[in-house]
Amino acid sequence: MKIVTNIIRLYHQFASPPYFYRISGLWLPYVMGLCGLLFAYGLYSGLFLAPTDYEQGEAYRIIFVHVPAAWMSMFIYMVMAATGVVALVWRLKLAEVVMISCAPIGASFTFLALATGSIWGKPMWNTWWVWDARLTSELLLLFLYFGVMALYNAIEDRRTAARAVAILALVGVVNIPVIHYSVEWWNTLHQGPTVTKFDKPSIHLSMLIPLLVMAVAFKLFFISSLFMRVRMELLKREKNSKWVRDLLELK
Amino acid sequence: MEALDFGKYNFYIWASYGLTLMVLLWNIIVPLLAKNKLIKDIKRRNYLNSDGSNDTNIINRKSK
Repeated sequence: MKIVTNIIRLYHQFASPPYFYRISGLWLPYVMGLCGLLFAYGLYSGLFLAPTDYEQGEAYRIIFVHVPAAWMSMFIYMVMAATGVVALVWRLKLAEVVMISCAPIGASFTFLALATGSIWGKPMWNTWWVWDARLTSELLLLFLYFGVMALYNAIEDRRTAARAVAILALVGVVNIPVIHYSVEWWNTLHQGPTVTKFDKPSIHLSMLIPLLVMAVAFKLFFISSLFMRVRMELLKREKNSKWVRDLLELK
Repeated sequence: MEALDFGKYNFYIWASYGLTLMVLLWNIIVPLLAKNKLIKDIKRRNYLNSDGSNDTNIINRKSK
């Protein structure tokens, strides 16, 4: 039982705003440094080392930014919904702050996935846009992120706003499997999954490695950007508390 | 720089990577600016209230 109480204590300690502010500040430079290294290697191997695709020529190299962005757009939504559950059930302030800080970052990656997809679609499909299931459900994801941000700003009280946002985020989760399986459930111009399927990925190792490196770099970037936003939001919410006053050396 | 020439796909590839760079920069610069502004605001309010009052209305205080 001692272990359980210790875990619970650690959990509450980690979730306390001053503790999280301090620890995230210590981690941030390391996460950012590793992220930068991975970006450098991912770009080098994606643009120099990876061979030309036999079907799509050089144009396929857009995959190294398009696919990680699209993965992040869904991953960030799941983080937002998961922290939304924690915010609803345990009323944890840190969870509320993480949840709302996810929204603009997720929206930016969703926009990036849509934009790079469109740029890739023009030379490959000869069109910027089609109203098929994959593209439409991804666009819906962007609107869900916008909805979350608008709802949060529409409600004066931050805690009430967070609860309303958590419910909206949870309802929107239904869209995530639709995005993922859309290329299998419906006919589309969009190519099928090449990495996330149960049998062997249908992509050569020389292209898979830069793709995965870029995916990890995007993930670390998300963590960095999220930490920056969460730290800012914590300062804002707790500006009258002692730890913020001590931190800013106010009397 | 011959290796970075993607022929007829140059525009599409560099547009994608350029957009990516812009989105990444946006995600760094916006929270940085917001944090600096917030800290400035907190410090200014603290300075204005240094006499111990809770009055945060700047215009009223200046006219006194």
